[in-house]
Amino acid sequence: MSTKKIVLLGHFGVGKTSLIRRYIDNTFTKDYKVTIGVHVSKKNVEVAPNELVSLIIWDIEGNEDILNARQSYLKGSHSFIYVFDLSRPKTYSTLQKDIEFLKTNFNNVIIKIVGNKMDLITKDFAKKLSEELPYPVDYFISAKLGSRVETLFSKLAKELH
Amino acid sequence: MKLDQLKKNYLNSKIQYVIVDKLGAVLESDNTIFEISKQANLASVDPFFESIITLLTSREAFQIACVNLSIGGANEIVDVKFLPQDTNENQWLILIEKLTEHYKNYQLLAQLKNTTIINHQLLTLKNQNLTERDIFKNVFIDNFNHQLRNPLTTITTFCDMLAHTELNSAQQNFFNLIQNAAKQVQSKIDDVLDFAILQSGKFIFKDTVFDLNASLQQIITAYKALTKEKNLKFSVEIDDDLPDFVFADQFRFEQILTNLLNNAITHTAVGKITLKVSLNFVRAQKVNIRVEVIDTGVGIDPTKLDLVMERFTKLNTNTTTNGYGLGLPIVKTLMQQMDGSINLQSKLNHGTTVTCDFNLKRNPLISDIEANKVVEVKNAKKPNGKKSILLIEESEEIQILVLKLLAQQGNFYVEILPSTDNLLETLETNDFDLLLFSEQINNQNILDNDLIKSKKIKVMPKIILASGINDTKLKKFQKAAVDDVISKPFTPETFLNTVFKNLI
Repeated sequence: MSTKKIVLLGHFGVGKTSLIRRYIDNTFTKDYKVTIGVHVSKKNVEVAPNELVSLIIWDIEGNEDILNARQSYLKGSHSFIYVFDLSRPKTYSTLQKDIEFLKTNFNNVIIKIVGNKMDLITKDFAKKLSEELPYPVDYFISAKLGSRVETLFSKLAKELH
Repeated sequence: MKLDQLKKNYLNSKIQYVIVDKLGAVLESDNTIFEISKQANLASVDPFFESIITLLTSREAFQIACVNLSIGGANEIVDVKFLPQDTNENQWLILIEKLTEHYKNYQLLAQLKNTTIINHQLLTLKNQNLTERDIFKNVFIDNFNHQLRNPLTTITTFCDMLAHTELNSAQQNFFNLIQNAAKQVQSKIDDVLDFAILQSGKFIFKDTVFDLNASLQQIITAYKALTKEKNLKFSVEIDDDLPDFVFADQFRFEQILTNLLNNAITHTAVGKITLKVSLNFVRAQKVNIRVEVIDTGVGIDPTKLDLVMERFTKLNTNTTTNGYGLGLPIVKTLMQQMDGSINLQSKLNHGTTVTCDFNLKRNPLISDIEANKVVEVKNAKKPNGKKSILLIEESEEIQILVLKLLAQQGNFYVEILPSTDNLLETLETNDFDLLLFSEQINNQNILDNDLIKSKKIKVMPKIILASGINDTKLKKFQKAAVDDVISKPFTPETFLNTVFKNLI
């Protein structure tokens, strides 16, 4: 069984921890509790009959500037999931800079761009935003409702396999 | 226990030493913080270590700070150092330092900081959203207003034309109904527009010096007629001490009064409406005026007094009256923006008293003069020698104004008459170089007074102090051989320029 390290990145309060809680435990709490440092979780995913991939997910503390994130956390990553809050423009204001930094410094690492809190906006807004952002959004999800969370990780696991 | 032993225990409890091989097999662990079994593989201890093992193939030391680890029931926040061993190139020393307390303190601060920032961002968004909604609302109201005003203008214009035709009794009744309805619609549109402007805070007040007494008289005349139509008594009490001129937005001042009087008339079926205007105080450059509108109408439940000041409130929904609608909220907002105050007192079925205290500015001209600011006259030459001027003016404020303006210039003698009663005697005993007189004395046009047509006055230069100028007035002034006109309210420059010009 192969082991793949996935790091969740993004500003604070965008719902990185909620996304993991939803994926690992299928739970959600609306209370915001700041993450400090890193919490590491693990989930085995069947990517093909009798073939498992161990996803080791690093939930790191949010930061408004990716350069301020502890670079040691990013070491040895196979994928980055860049999460932003669809209801707070500030959280996707640095998307272009952050993605360019990751692409430049982490060659061959799969990057997924995820807009969370889909439950707080309309589909029209999501569509309009998608056209305006410098990089396409891979998934519009809601950790609260659980929509598209499973899809995000299962597809990523297959891609990493 | 000795200090050395205490120190040792304290230090030991903070750092755990673990030796592993490059594949992650645990060779030794002192288990100071976590229980890690010898011969176990790090990968099975915690997912954190599982993802680290691939990095042990290199021989470079590294450190990962602030890691939340949960091993064998112990939950700690630690810094982990990975140090390749020089003595055995297959071995790594892992130092796990417990810093839970330190990081939890940091977490408290981060929680406070992040929550504040997030709340601020959300509040900013909410404000933006409200601003956008407000803009939309104003555009909507502007369009609504524009689209309603055009047909309404047609209605009112044709009503005016119809008023000049011969109508029979039934037609006259229909006509009156149409005209009143059109006026009401017009008034409601004005209210909606005003309220939208005032709520958005965009309204700019246009303060000018205006004749307070003239403004009040105009309102009183209009409402005498309106109250009479409804068989209501209209009582007026105006304080004699009110200043003649104030510096404020005349249109808004009058709007407040008319709104209050309209409300009083609407909600009073029998009895009377009282308008009281009194001087509260004059202080420095400010003058505080109290306006009270008292009715004997349906009144308001005292527990609902605050409600009628809010927008779109109409308490008495069972009646056919127009409700309080936007009138009082507009008055309240206007009073707030004019730095005044409003108070509402009412008793159900006994009537309502609305008290407004206006914080107005005094005529700045008076203030300047009191501050002894000498006016510079640019467009006229000061006459040589001492000049005598006769002023016929009933307003004390204007009397003082003229006296002080001329006194500041020096070499002027001013005789003041508050009426024409002693005019002939004054003219017989004195010689004057110029006559200044108010257009209205004792509610009469001074030009209709025969005394003004006396021979002695005819030959004197004459300046009339008029309340506004129009073509009809100018013709009348010319016919009466008036040499010049100064329109009230006037500026010191205008006054002195005109006086000097007529003395040379």
